[in-house]
Amino acid sequence: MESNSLNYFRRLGQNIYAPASALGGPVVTLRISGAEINSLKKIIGDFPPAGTFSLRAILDPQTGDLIDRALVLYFKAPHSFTGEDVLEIQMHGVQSLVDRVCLSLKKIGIALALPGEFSFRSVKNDRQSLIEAEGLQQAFAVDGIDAKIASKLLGLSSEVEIRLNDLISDSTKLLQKARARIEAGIDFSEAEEEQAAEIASATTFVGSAHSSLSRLLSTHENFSRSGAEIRVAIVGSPNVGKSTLFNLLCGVDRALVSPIAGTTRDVIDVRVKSPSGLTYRFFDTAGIHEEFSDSVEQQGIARGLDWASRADFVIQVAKKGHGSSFSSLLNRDIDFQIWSFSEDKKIAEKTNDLFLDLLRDAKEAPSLVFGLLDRLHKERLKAQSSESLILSATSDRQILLIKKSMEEMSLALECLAGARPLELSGDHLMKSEEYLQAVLGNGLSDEYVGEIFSQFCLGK
Amino acid sequence: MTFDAVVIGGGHAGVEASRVLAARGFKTALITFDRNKIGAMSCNPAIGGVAKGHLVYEIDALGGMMGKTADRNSIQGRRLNMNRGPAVRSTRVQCDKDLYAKTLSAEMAEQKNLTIVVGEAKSILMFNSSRELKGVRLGDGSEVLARSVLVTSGTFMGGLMFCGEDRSVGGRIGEKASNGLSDSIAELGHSIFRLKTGTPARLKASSINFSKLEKQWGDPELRRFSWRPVENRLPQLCCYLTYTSERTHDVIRSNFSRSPLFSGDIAGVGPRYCPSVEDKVKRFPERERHQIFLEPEGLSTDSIYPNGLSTSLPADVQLEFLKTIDGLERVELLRPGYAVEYDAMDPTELNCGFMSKNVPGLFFAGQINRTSGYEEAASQGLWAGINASRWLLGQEARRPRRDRSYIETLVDDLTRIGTKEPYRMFTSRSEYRLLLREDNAMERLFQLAVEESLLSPEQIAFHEQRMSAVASGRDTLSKARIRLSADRVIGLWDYLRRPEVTWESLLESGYDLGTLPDEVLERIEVEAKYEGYLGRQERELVELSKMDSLLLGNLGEMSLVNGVSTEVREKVLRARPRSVLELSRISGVTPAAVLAISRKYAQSPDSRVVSRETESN
Repeated sequence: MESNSLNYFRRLGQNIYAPASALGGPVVTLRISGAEINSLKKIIGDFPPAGTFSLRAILDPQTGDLIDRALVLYFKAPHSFTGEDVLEIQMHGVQSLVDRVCLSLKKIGIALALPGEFSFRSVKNDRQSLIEAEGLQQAFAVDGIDAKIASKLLGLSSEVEIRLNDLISDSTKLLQKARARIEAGIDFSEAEEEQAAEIASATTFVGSAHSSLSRLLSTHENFSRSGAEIRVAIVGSPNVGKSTLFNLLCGVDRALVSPIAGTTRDVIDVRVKSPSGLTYRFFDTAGIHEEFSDSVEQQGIARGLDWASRADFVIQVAKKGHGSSFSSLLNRDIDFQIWSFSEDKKIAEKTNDLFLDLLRDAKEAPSLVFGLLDRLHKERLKAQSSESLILSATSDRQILLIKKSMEEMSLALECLAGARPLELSGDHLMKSEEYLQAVLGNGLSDEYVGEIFSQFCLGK
Repeated sequence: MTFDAVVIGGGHAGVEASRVLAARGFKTALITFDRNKIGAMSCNPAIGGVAKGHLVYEIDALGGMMGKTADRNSIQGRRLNMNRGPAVRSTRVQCDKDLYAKTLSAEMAEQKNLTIVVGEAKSILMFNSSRELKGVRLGDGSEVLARSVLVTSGTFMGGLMFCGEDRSVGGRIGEKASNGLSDSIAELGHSIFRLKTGTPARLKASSINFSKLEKQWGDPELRRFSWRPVENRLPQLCCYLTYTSERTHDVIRSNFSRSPLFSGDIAGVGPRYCPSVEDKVKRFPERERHQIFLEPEGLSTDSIYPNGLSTSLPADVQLEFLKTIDGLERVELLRPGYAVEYDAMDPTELNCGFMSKNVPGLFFAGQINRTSGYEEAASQGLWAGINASRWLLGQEARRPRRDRSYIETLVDDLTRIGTKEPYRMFTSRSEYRLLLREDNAMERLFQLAVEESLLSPEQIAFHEQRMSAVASGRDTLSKARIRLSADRVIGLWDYLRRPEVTWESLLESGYDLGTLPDEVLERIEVEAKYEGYLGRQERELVELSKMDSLLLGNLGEMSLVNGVSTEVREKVLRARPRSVLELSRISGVTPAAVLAISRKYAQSPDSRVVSRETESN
């Protein structure tokens, strides 16, 4: 692992190549970057003037055979993605031809790039910040993310940097204050009276850093969950058609449907992609009623309520005229109601309620419901503060580091509480601070920088 | 008179430096004002303390004088931080100050190859023709010629004492200052700064009402610094605890204007960690009281040192505020406290062997290098002595290793980073605190000591015997089990991991741990308490050495690095770091700047292609 990540440094200046687009399309782009790429002339002849492109014959460097004709783009250092000399070959997307070109590149000593090696070089040469690079990675990684949001994520990177910076530096300051107190408590041990006070205030400082980070984490958790999938709970009294709706939305008979009230005894959930490409996760819950029922069912109801209270949206299914709202029971708003088995088919704009006969309108029901959900989701996204967008751009790496940092804080608190020698708390806080610095890309060990980029995909 | 080396000043630095040189066979001169004040304890009566005790153990491990002299003359001693883990436990002993200086004066007088020269060093002599070091000119005009000169002048260079409105020239009360020497040092291209330090009044023991004060006895089993056993321990004395009061603070506050510290008369920077009492009152107005330790200065003296009351207020004010303190209602002063302002060097102008970068053969050590404390001074004297010997032998300066000792941490901090205020050692200055303990000082430094021929055959034999005892004792003890109650038996190892359990407490509560030496017992405790942590520090060391191998290319003018301020840029250009590790150690260089600069300039040692910047240069 270690040697692997240090490879990014070892290979600096070495010429590397990788496909910059997925194979399978009509055109494949190969990108080559290096400090000295003149050897490429053996394959493509003279380079086009910097910043321009030309059509070139691609030749096998040993036999001189023509492999393909391709568009060649030349970016001269430092005006390129990596900050090195970069050449792009846009060639026909035929696997065998691409393979021959790759082989030719290898023959003249150009190595296949490590995952993320292009991004690594671009960060190293100050072409982009680590956080920008991670924003890019994030935008590619979030499944089903809206193009607008993706571009916003990229654009937000500087704001993310500032916001996170503030939070991290505030926490860092608290840790430093705590360390100063602890060290004073160790190095001035003659004054026992003062020592106790120092330890008490150190504990307060660490505690408050810990809690502000844990707030960030829980917000992030909420957000990233909803970013990846939109959770929708279907609730209602027994036997109003919840499972019928669920099955219609999922397109399969997942839930057992019967005319007997209380058929659904536990929570069933299915992930579905909406026609617009968003990922929904529907939860079919047991019917909620207060009359006597067996304990299995009771537990099912409790779990249903629990899911519903944590879902992004709650749909209450009700029979027309029997609609007591469950919002007080769930302790949250019902986002909309579906009045099942209604005569008219319409959406009440004011309340978002949907009137449907689930059996008669089975075909149209999903598109109506998805349409409504998509609209509500978009409205919510718009309303979302930039804060949550920032959170979504906080990468897994950063979250992991924050968690590690908090673990160290907890250990330090144990030492402060006397469960372990006090001086060890200093070590834990130092580690904790290092992790926080690493969130911002500061003081990263080479190994670690390597590790970050090794999570990137090839060619980026 | 011609010597190999001449040492200016017979304080704690001068003693260690001249002894190393003389013991290694170099013909050495020690210039001092008074041959009976060699190794005098000018301020407090204690040797050691947190982190300072660590230094004394290390000095002893390198064959130095301080530990054994303190052991012989101790009149009370305690191990501090006993409620903490073993790495930060430190030994502190109080000495009979007279006997301490007598012991050292006598030993130095008998030291082979060492000549004591009584006089004042006036200037550093250079050969006109070659601009090479020639020796030292004394106050009477005579010359002491030597190939190398070590300046360990403490507070005596340009010494000026302040007591309220009174001023007197001198480095210590009743003694002269050395004037002219700093001009000569400045002329050789060194920067001179004013620093200040202070000392409290000395109180007459017979005028103090001890009966109402809290007693503080030393530990019954006195620790010793040195590997040498002490034959005759001196009788042990008691210290007393008292506190300042609001009334004390009122007196001090209403006389702020008469303190040369606040009037601006003292321009020198004082030690933040050892503030004068007027400083404390000013900076912590919310504190209702400050702790004062009343410490006897010796067996045959009536002098009490009130630890915590250093001041430069006028003598009448000193007496007035002292009388507001419990037990001191009728106190009489033997002499008032005073502040000393003195000339100090910039240690970043020295190489890592404390030799001037401008004048080969000219070394500086001790308080003149902007430190405070006997232990810090002695450590430097030893290091300068080692390196002056090396220089005389035509060898390069030793590179200090921070992971090996506090002494080397101090050397590294001073010469690489420098300091704006008097530097005191703390355990928190070391990133290897768990590795650098009192208990393993000799183990850590043995190899260095042997390489520099610092140890007597007896000390070497002692160490080797100790190491084999530790090895076999560890083996036995790590298997030992302890009965906690009738039905509960656990491994000694697990038991020792509890913070409240120490090997001392085990012995006290009557557990039979056999007849193993303390060091073995302590070692087992350390290993149990820090299990996991020591491994981490060792791993970090490996990582660091990797960083050290990540070299920086030619920094050139380093004009365009985003996120690097002009200030940082200048610092980096001045320090010319060789590797990313060295870069990251420059003070004031933020981690962000380290990353930015290394992104641009770092090159892997085995990469064949140099980075762009070097290429274009």
